[in-house]
Amino acid sequence: MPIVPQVGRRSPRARLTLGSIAVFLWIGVLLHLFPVAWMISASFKPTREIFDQPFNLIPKEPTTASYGLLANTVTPPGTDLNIDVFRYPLYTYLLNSLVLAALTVLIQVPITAMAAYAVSKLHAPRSAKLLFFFFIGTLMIPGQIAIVPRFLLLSHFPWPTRAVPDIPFTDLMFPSLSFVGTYWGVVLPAAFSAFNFLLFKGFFDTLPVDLIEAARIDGASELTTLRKIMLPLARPVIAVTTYFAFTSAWNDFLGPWIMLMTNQAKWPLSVVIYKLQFFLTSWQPSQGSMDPAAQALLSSGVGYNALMALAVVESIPMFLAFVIFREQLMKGIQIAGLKG
Amino acid sequence: MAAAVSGIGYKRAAAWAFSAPAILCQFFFGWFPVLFAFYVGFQRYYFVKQPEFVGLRNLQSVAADPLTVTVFQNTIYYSILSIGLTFIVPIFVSILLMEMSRKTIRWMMLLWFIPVASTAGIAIWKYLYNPQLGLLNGILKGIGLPALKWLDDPALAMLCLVLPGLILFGPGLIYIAALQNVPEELYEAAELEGAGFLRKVRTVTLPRLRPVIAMMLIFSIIGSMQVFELPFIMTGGGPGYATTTVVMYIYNLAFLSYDLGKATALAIVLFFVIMTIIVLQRKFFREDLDT
Repeated sequence: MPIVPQVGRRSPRARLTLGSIAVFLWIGVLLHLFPVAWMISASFKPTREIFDQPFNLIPKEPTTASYGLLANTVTPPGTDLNIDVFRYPLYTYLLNSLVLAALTVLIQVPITAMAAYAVSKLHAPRSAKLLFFFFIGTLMIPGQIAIVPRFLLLSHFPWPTRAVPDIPFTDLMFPSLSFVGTYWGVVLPAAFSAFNFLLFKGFFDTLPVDLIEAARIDGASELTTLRKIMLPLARPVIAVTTYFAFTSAWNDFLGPWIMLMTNQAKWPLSVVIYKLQFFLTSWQPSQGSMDPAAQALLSSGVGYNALMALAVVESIPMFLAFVIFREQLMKGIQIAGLKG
Repeated sequence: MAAAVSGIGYKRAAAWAFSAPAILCQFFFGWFPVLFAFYVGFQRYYFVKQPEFVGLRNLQSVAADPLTVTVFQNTIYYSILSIGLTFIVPIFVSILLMEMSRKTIRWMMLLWFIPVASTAGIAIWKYLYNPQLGLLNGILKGIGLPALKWLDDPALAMLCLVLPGLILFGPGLIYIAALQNVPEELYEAAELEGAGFLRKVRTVTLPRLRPVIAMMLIFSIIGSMQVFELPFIMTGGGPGYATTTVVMYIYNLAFLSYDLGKATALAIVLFFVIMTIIVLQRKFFREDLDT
């Protein structure tokens, strides 16, 4: 609710206050948009304009060369993995990002929603309370403590030990799965989200029990009640949680970086952009010797313009998701107000 | 009535069936790795050898490592900078945003939340900071000031990591949500008592926001003490070790030196440091709403 009362809004003093607030806020908006504009502008600059000073926000000779270069450069295998960003074509990386984000959304949102519904409406009070803390407790714990154990666990699931133990009295090993270098190594740790659980539960708590009772009396099964009555009502929360799940998967760097390090064919864009950026900034002309393929790449114009083009490519799906979920997000903000 | 009673068992079965996948996920990927860290941290643990219990030896090796002090100093410095400089910004921007008309709020929020992918955002800033090609030095030169080395300057590098959060001020969704629940009567009452704008913020708005602020403060502390991506991508921990944080060092120990035991021992130390800070914070910053 606004602090300046509605009635006094036309007085000169109130107008001055409101006017300066508006200016301050619009400056914030513009500052926020500026790096975006700078990124887009640089991505359309020819390489020589990157070196131009003073700098121009509008490219003098706009070109899509950077995008073409990104899309068409594929270096042959066998060169240094550290700078060999373009072993695979760009669309491979884009596809990887999309698959990772889609899998995360499709697994995380239903699992989290069902658990939140059960805790909110189905469980006995005692188990509901216990499960609630079981589910959200990890929010209060620094998760990075588990980097190493999580990696060990995913290396030969479900055995966190260094090697898979033998089945007693035999020479056979217990069955295990290795998720290193697979999408699952990144997706499974995100299969449940404590934060989205809170959002879902907060919403389900506001729904009257009568709705469920009515469905039960009509003979609907619990699953039908959830699917036909609860989920349609929860559409705004589903939109918000889907958006959060999508963006966090899309932005995830450490997960794919550790789990997919050895498998370049599965790298998402977040890793590739780091690699390209590393290659651009760590190589100095004074270092002299450089991989011929990388050298060729650099001289053909891969510079900050290409990096910014890659940044644009990485940001477009985020932007599309934002456009799609915009209305629901705005509505969702009002219901996602935090409740105990 | 009979139907309702016999329905209870069925309802409980459905409850557990609905929760089961989440329970499994939360057990395996939420709790178990945290608990297992307390096992790994006390083993000599390399990928190639059978682990061996070594008691406190990993912790001793962490304590004896001069870099431990450096990375903790860096991390605490980063936390103080980022929370000190940027934590309150979204709170006040959100409060101010509420003064605008509904239409303006909508537009501003749409423009404000136009997303850039996070690694892309870091890459943009790294480009802006570039000493030769970056815009920031271009601006400095343009107004006749000496160029700075930004990320290459050990004294400046950490500040550079935090600066985007300060320059790009914006509102926080959580605060906007919370502000919508502040009852208008409270402002009206304050108005009747002759309170001005700032006094209303201090006596009405901020106390109402207190629970949310307390919660966000905890998340900010947990988050900033565990910062990894930002320095890893922006500076690689350099120059020297000027921006190497604890989690980056854990990562280096585990995945570059393959010393999983020591890496996890350091993680355990970090765990207790963060938990101590949280306990202190909760003691001094009550979460309850005082009305």
